Amino acid sequence: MGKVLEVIRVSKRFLGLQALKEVSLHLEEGEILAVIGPNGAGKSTLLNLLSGLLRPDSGRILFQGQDITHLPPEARTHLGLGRAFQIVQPLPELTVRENLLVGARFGKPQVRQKEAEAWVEEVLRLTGLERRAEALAGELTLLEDKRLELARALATRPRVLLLDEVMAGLRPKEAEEAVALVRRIRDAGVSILFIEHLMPVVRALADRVVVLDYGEVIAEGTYQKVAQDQRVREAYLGRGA
Amino acid sequence: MAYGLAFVVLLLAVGLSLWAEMSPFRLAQAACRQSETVARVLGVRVIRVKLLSLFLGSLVAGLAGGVYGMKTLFLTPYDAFSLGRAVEALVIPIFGGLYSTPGPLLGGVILVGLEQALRLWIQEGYLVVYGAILILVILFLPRGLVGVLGRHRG
Repeated sequence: MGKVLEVIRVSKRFLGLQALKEVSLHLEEGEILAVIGPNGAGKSTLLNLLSGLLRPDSGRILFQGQDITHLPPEARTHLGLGRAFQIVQPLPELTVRENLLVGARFGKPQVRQKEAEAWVEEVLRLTGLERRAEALAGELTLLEDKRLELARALATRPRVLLLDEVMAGLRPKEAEEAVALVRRIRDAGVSILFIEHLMPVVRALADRVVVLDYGEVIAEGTYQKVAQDQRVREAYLGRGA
Repeated sequence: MAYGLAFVVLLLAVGLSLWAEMSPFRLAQAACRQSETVARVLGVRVIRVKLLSLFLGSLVAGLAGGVYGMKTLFLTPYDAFSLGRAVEALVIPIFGGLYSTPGPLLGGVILVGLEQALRLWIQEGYLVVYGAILILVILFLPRGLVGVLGRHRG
């Protein structure tokens, strides 16, 4: 197992706010890594830096050994770094199948139409969206929206998938289904880095957990290990705890 | 001569539009229109899509302008760059139905015909009636004429 994604001493400041401070972490091949932390800890900033929507002030980001710090989002997707958004952003005037086709067709440069279409069918099957393939993306339920968000990221054929609170707003039963889906995606050979608020989901899914607080990594390890960590408890429950 | 050329430009425009509608370019355009962020994260080269869209649009508009000049043999900034003409170029596709090939065709035939007919029937202030019709159509048929036809078919 090698490091498929590596963040080296990355910092990012927004005006007066130090969103990330010298953050270093990595994702192993085939691993599911959770990044957790209280609100404002810098989780979303980290994901935006990884997917290229923001540039770091300092530090480097390596993907499969290649420096991608200054690559634009589309180039990162072409290399195999996919992303699903927290606030689901379907393309509402396109059908579910067409939404996936955007990812399948443009996620890699020079994909043939036939290949893209065949891959879309596979993704529809994997994510259980087959029956909704012809529905307009604007007409889906929340659960279906979340599935579409995942499916569309998957359609770009990522090696690494970044998930931004994709379980938020789901009922426990639905979250369970989504957890099973994320596992299936990993078993298909995709390494996953996800941000999550729901602790049951983190415990069920994560091989390893990184905890951020005020833009710094304060703990790292298995769920059991970080759950015992004094600094993590303080970050979540307040300094007096 | 000018009419023949205008017809050629029409065929070219329809051809380009059909190509854009059937190729993956349509999906790329739809993605960029709805969210550039999402489009980029899905691997769409947004700048290329925008440049190509601008290029195709200006190509047709430029050709049409050339033919227009050949027909009138006289161009003034008042007419060529009037607000009315600029708005017309937007209103016709919206009226007929955006993002489709038949939409702007249908919109053009009906709106230009309507404008001419109103000019004959109501000499004074025909533009007021024309404007009122446009507002009503855009209010009640947001997807244009093609949207109505499509719904009946479905």
